[in-house]
Amino acid sequence: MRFRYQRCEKCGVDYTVDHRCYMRTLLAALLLLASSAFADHHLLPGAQQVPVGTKWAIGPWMWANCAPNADCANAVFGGQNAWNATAAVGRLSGWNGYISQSDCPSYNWPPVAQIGVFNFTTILVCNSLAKISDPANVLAFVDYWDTTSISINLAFAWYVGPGAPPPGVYDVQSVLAHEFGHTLGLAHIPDASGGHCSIDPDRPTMGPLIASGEECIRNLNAHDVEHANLFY
Amino acid sequence: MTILRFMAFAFLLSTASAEELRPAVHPYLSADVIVVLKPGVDQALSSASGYGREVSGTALVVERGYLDLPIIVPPGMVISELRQNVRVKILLKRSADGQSYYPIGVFPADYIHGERR
Repeated sequence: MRFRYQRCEKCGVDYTVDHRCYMRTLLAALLLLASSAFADHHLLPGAQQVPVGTKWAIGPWMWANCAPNADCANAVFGGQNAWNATAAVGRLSGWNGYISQSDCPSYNWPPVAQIGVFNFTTILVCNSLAKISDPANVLAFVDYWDTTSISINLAFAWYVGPGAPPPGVYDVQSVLAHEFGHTLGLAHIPDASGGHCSIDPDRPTMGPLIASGEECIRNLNAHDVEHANLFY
Repeated sequence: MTILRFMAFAFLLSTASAEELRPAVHPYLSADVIVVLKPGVDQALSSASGYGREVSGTALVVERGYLDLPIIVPPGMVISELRQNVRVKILLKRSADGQSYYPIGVFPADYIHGERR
């Protein structure tokens, strides 16, 4: 067993950063059970660093509906590039336009669009949202154990383009920036704003909530950067 | 020890999909109009570029508000498409110019907010 700790200077919580240690996952699980607040400060259990040179891909739906559009492609790349401000620089680059075969028809409720990952096999995407507890409330998620693939829930309205989305509509780039953080292995960061940029314009990208009509988490805040730098 | 093992296993199962990013205010709560719509034809609502697209169909039930303006999907919006004769509950918000409604959610016709599915 090998453990190596680093301390987040902002929140004062120790990270275990040796992802090779199997026991770390078990320990983290037990500690997370003991304190839900603890979970917000840590890497995802079993997190592994994304290898340099990983090829990212975009699912068929996103390819057909998003990639040909400059605003939409910019939203995807913008979500990736946000993390270039950290020690994880370059880990999310390298999207090659590969079309995965994994996402489902958008009419297969709940509708899902997926951004797949080239290096992994993704199969169970059509009902991926069924894996999570409350698909009527979940905007997006990372299928973390299988693939680190990202899915967004098309039941909600999404916005691509400059500026903020209209009320009730969610910002693709902001949410992808958040989800790409999870693909890097990061967990949520406590966010007292409740997901509202109007309350805290500098709120963390890795906060657990996002309000519609806002785009302030397209860029990371200092706490996001610090957490990424602890792992990479 | 057995209990601890069970707890750890249950935890690992519970986080099989590790990420959920929840809307701070659900569209159902902020919608001006909620209507159950039966589309007459397939319609790709996403309008990531170019011009807005008008949504057509038969309003079966108006659950909230009045559907007194056309439904227009504005440019830059990405949302689920509609299928012919597949009823959906569309959540609408009045546009800034007051001339139309735009969708903020497309849910199954039998969707009830707060009900776990």
